[in-house]
Amino acid sequence: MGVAEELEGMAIRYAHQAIELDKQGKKDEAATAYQKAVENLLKLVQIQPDYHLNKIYIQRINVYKTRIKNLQGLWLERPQDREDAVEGGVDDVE
Amino acid sequence: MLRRSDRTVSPNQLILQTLTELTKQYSKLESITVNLRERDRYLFGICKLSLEKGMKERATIYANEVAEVRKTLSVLCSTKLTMEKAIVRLETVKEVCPTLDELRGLYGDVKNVLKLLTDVMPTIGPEVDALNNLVTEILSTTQVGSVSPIEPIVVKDAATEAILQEAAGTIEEELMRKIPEPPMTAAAPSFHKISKPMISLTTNGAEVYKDTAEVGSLTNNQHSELAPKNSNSLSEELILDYIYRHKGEMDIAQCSGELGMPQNEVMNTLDLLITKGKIKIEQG
Repeated sequence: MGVAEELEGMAIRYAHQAIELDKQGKKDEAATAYQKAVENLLKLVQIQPDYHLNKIYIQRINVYKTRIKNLQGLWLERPQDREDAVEGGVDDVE
Repeated sequence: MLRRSDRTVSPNQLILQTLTELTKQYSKLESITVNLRERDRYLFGICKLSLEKGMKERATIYANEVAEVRKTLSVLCSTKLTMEKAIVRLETVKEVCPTLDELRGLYGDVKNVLKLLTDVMPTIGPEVDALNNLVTEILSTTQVGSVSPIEPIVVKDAATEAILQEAAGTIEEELMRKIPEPPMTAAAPSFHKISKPMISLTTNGAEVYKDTAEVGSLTNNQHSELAPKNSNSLSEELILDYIYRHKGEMDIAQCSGELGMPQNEVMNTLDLLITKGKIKIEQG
C-alpha cells in the first residue's frame, strides 16, 4: 500500500471516528479526531499537489475545520469546558 | 438461414420458419447485448481506475472503447426493436391474415432486418460458405510477418469526453462518500415558545417535558447538552412517524427503545421539531 493510500485510509478512519464521537456528544474527543483527519488529509494534499481529487480533500478539510470551530464554540458556552479548551484545546490548522 | 427459394413450403410454414429463425437471432442479440453491457462496465471501471491514478491517456483509450461499445449497444438495441416489430407482425399475420400479399410485404421487412443483422453481426448474416470465403480471402491477403506495432489511437470526441467526465464524477462521488461529512450544526432551538398544545408527552423516568417552566430550567442548565448537533431529517422523520403511530403520545424512553436512538438524541430532535413548528407540546 502506498503512502497516499495509507494516509487516505487513516483520514477516513479518523473522520468516521470523529463523526461517531460527535453524534455521541463527546465534543472534545470528536474535535481531536477531526483534527487528526484534517492533518492526514493535509499531508495527503502535500505529498501529491497535482492530484485532481485534491479539491475533494481540501473541501473536506475545510468542513472538518469548521466543525472543530463549532465544537469549540459549544465548549465555550460552559465555564468548565472553557477551562478545558484553554488547557488542552484543539489548535486550528491552516 | 431461410431458404426463400423453396417453393414447396406453404406460407404458414414459411411464417413459422421465419419466426423461429428471428426468435433465435433475437436471443443471440439479447445475449450479445448482455455481454456488451458487461464489457462496458468492465472498461468503464478500468477507465475510472486509470483516471484515479492520474493516467489520463490510458483513461482516454478506455473511454474511447466504452464509447464504441455504447454505439454498438445502441445499434443492437434498435436492431432488436426492428426484429421485435417483425416478429410481432409475423405473429399477427400468422394469426389473422396469412395471405401471400401480406407475406410479400413482410419479406421486405425481414430482408431489412436480416440486412441490419448482417451489418451488426456478420456471423449470423450471410451463409457460412460466404463467410469462409471471406476469411480465406482475408488470410491470403494478410502477411503475419510484417505486423507493425500497434499504436494506441487516442481520439477525443464528445462521447469520449462525456465518458471521462462521467468517470471523474463517479470517482468524486465515491471519494465524497468515503470521507464522510460531519453532522451539521443547527441553530439552537428556542425553548420558551412551547405554549400551544399539540402532542401529549410523557416519559417513564424524569418528566423532561412536563411543563414549559421545567423545560426552561432544563434549557438553562443543559443548554449545550441539548443543543441539537445536527438537523438530521431522518431522525426527525422517525420521531414524527413515532408520534403519528402513537396518536400524538410521546414517551421518550419507549421512543428511544423503539427507534434505537439515544434518549438525548430523541430530546434534541424533539427540540428541533418544536423550533421548526412541526410539533407543539402539551402536559402529559
